[in-house]
Amino acid sequence: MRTIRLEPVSRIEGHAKVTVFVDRNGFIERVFFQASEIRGYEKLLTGLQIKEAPRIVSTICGICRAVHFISALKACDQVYGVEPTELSENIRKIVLYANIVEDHTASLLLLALPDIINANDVLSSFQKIGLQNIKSMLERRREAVNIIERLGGRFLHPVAGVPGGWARKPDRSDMEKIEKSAEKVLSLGVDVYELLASLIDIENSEKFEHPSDLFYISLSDDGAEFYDGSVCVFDSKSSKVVEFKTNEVDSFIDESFRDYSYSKEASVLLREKKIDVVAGVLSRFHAGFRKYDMSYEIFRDIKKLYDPEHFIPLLSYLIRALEIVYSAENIIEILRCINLSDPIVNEDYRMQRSGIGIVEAPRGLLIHKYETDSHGNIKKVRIITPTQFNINALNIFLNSTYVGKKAFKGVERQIENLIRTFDPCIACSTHSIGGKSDLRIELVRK
Amino acid sequence: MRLAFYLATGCMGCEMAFVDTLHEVIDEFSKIEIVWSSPMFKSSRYSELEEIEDNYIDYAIIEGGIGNSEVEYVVKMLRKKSRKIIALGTCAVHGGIPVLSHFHSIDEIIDEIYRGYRPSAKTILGGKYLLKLSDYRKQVPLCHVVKVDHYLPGCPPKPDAVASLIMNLENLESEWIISGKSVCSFCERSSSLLKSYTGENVDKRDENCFLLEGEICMGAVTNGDCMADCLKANVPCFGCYGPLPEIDDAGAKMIDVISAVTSQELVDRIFQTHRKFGKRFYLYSTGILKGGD
Repeated sequence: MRTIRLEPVSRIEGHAKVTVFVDRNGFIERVFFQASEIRGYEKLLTGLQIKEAPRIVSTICGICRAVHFISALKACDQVYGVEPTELSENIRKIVLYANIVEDHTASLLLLALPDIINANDVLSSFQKIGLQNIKSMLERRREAVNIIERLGGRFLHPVAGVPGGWARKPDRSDMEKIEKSAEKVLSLGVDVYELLASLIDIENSEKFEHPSDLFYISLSDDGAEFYDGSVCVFDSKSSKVVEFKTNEVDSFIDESFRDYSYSKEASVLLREKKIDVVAGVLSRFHAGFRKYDMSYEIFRDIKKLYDPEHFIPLLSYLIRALEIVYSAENIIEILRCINLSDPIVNEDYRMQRSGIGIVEAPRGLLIHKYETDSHGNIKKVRIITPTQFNINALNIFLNSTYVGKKAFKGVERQIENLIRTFDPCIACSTHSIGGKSDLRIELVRK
Repeated sequence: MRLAFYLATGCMGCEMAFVDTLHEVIDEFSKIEIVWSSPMFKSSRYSELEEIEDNYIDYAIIEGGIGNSEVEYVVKMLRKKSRKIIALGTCAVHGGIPVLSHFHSIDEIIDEIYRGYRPSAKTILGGKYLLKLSDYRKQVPLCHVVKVDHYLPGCPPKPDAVASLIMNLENLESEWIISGKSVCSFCERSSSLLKSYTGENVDKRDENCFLLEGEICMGAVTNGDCMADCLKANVPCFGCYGPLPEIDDAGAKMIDVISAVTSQELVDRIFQTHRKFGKRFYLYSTGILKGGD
């Protein structure tokens, strides 16, 4: 048996590896995607106060820099038995959308770009696009980071959340600065989309047959929704297969373990049958972006390129750019109706001993669930991240695509690029124990 | 100048802090030779690192602590290949949040997560597919495993601090790249803390020190290069920049601080609210484990 190792595969968030088994005649037998690390947050959090959880779980991921915080904060509201004030929810939403903007921009420019333009590394891909052009986009990306910092107290791993609200009320001058940042962020979205649309030729790009048993999961409220809404599962024709409320997650979402991976793989249970789902941009695309003019126009353009019979990996990049525009439009809309004279926190606490918080993270559906004692001390934690759905989906997709095919030259690179279109965040998916993830591909020939 | 970047067991936040300010230094940065980097900037392989001559890399910038056998191997390899190792961020410097694992046994942690199930280091599936995983370790900072030349703590450090570190590597002198002042030195609430310490009466006000409100605030023992950002956002310090270098045991020091400035009634309240106050005192640092080998 001959073993070819490519380790690690980079430009994804964290450490994972892929092993491809090839038979004596050179045909692919089986493909495994494994997460190769653990951090143990579920255990580490026990005994701590639930109101401390948002700041601590934020450190699960520095790329998804605010979403674990917001998701845990929503769960925390429920443990405290309190409805957060409208003003504080608007602030949380702005922080969440700013996170989507800076994360998608970083993911596209620093992780994906070399694949899109066939460059060896990030800096040479910058040179190809033009340093000044990249500089101007990164400069506007920083405006989204500034929004998080101004409202969240810190630029990464925000701190300013409290049960039922927010710890600090922004003033007029904060809001004026945020308005200016939001305008720049909107122009960033348009520029990133135009850049990608000029670089990616979807019609002539790689297409794969769409696995018939692969579905899409996303929050939706008559269209893609990041903070509110119910959980919906769509098929590849964007038809809704099932919809459930966030508090019904336990009866609909299943986590299974694998001997060979530190990530628990998540899927949907429907009438006792396991359904494999993809989370993230593709799923939100099925929910749709009809709320705002600019993003709706881009949504319609991308829809024309979409084909339900095929899986088109590069489409994810265009949708990611579309979501930068959509998030910026959301921030601008919230700023239009935000009322600073409203109360910032509702302290009418009635301890409930359990809570669940769901948001759409950049990479998809993120679930935080806590059980506490009557004083709010954490007893049990369950965190389900989008990449846990996607690792399962990736395993199914890679096997349905490659098994039985000849292991042609460059297959490793193709698999690697394909995995990166899912933008997996292994740090998130392995929050359970220690911490990070680069992707390794190993070809095993028998 | 030849650089290497590596994300050990961390969240990638420190490298993102650099990305947040990349536009300001992109012209100079794009002239620097990155010899080896994973997973950011380049797609370098472990085998490529093994082939590099010893001491060929000038500076290896490592984010994250040591949380498994694979990371330990790569960090030791980077030490061999590099003249200087820079620990970037609190996980690399002090261990970071995952050091809470020291409050549990590895079995306890794995049982909680996998509910009795256990992923194994080696699995043979269907009698023929051999799959391997690295061994999980309780997180420790880099200095427990290799010699570290410079430390820049912060969870994460501010973008400007990371950029200025990377763009001035050749001029680094001190081992610790910090002001050496505590969070309290930058906190406007600390005047009430001082009053309380000297026995003066403190009026009950919103902007009082959190300790005087019966909340744990780690500001007194924590490196203050965050400029007390959390306090400005009306939340207490959790200690994310790690203890000041001269403090060996942040938890013991915090007990000193609390007993010096708060009344018996507040002490009771703090320890009644925080059943696992040990975890709060050692949230980001291995504390007395410092010193390692």
